[in-house]
Amino acid sequence: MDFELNEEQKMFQDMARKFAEREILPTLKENVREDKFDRGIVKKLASQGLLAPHLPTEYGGLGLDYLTSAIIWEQLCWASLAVTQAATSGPIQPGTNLLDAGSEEQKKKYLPSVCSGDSILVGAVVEPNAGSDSSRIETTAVQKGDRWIINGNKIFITNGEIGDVILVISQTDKTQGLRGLATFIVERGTPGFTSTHLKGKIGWRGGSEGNLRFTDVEVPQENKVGETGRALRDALRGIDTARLFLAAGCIGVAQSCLDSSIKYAKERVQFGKPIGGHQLIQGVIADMATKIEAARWLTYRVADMKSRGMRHIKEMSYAKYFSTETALWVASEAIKIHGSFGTVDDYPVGHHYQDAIVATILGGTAQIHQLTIGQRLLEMSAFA
Amino acid sequence: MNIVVCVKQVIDPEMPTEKFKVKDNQVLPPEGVPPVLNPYDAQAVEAALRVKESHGGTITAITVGPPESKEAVRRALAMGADEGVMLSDEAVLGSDSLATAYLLAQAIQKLDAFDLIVCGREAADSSMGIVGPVIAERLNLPLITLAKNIEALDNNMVKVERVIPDGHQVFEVSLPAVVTVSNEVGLPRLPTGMGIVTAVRKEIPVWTNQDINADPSLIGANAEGSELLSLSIPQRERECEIIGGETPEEAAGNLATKLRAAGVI
Repeated sequence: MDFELNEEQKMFQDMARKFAEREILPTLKENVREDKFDRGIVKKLASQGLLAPHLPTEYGGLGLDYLTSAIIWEQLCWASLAVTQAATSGPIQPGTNLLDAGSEEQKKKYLPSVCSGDSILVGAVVEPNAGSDSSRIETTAVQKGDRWIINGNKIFITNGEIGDVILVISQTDKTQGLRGLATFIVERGTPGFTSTHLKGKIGWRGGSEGNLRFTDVEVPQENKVGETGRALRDALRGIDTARLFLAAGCIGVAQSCLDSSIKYAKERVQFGKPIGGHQLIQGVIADMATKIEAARWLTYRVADMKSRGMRHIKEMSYAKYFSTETALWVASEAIKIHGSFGTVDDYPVGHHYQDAIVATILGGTAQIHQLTIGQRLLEMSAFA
Repeated sequence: MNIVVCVKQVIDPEMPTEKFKVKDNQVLPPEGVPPVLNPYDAQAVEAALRVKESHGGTITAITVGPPESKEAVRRALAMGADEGVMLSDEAVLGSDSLATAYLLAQAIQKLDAFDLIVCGREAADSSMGIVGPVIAERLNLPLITLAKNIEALDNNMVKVERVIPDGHQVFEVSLPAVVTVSNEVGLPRLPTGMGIVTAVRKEIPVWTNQDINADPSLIGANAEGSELLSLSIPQRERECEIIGGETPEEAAGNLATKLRAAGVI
């Protein structure tokens, strides 16, 4: 068992951090205040080779293993989880979905432009009445000859407002429940498809989320991805990669909060000495570092399992659940260490706190992951 | 154009000062802080890449040091250098800047061809700034120091803008030549993902001092080049004093009086 990163991983780690410092941090404060996503970052990530590290080279990715990809995501999210998630989500969730379930023609048509940053791919699963429970999806797809007519709404969709190509999960036969779900490709500009910006977010600011509306949107049969009845299973492959991204990203979030807390605790003098010299602060810093280290190795472990093709459902839930909850706790404690300064955006901890809250919900809530773990340990499902 | 860039691995100069430890006239490798490509050498690689991009050619990165310093060459390869060479054996360990320059000059002569040799202005650890000039001396080549821009010309020459305190000088110099680059070259590019993937798979030949016919008396820790008498971390004492006054004007006056008394103004 070798816990040392190899030279390639160290180089990606270093390069991704420097990229985050150069390209994300300088405009972050303004973009977060205005809740504005800078689409230019997508192209910059692509030029740097950081947009789709895990996708195969034949489709424009780098063909890296999931551990190296997770290390990259961790470093990018050290600057901002919201920005990195919006910028890279196309290759991560819907990209993996299309890679696994799409036809060769679909992959060749869409993935290269996604990997080059010329096109933004969007995965549309969640609806007003269908969050954790996908059996409640109400968007419908009705076959009419060799075409499909799609009607419905999707919400909280990453890049929903700006995406170019949408993978939308729709119900083809309500009586079939999950077995009636199918995935379709809808290109922006298709008549009947509209999108709006999701306003009033308390987290994920500086990222990009939107709501989608499909009104008699007509797509050809060749836009159907995979088989009817496998849509959720196909989507979960992409969501599995998204969970790894969130787990890794939250390590970056937590690490940034720890870095800032250590720096601040050394500089801030109260009661005659730097606050880092007070035992209560040292205790919190120690707990932060310990939890981050634990989250990091849980995540690296499952990333390695995923790369090796091992079954890892329970381990992914360990990583996603623990890493996101750790980020939220660490960010919260970091704000307290920074005192009132932690509540303004001159320091990174407030932004990270806002993003960490969202990260505990996306990709399966903490409770869903508890149930996933419990189901596998107890061999009893609490879902049904 | 065949461009050679001399690179060195150094202790990260950006690490917090409290992590620097000195023992027996040597800086101890800091725990948990990986060494880096000398930032000035990264700028040399950047300058070389710009020449290559505008004029074509190949870039060979070369280093002298212990086995782990091969990573400095690998970083240069990841940035876009085409080939890498490392000079490393027991005999070269402990070489000072003069000996290092001699070794590099010998190694450069072993390369198939070289037109332009680019060095950083200095190493971030020793800060001697003599490797480039001594290579030029050893190879009997023209030298331009502190370049902020290198432009390849068509007549086997390069045009070099050299930084001086109040501006810059412009030289045109015949190749082969040695150029050291200044900070004004600007921020070196980051390696790309594909650059890293390629670099880690690239074989970097390791040469010994015999391979380059180096004179053993001129290399290693016992070479009669320079002698380091002592190495210490400067002790800085800082004191903070708030200068007050009933009005801003009075406070400014008090400040001026204090500064004059301290000999600052």
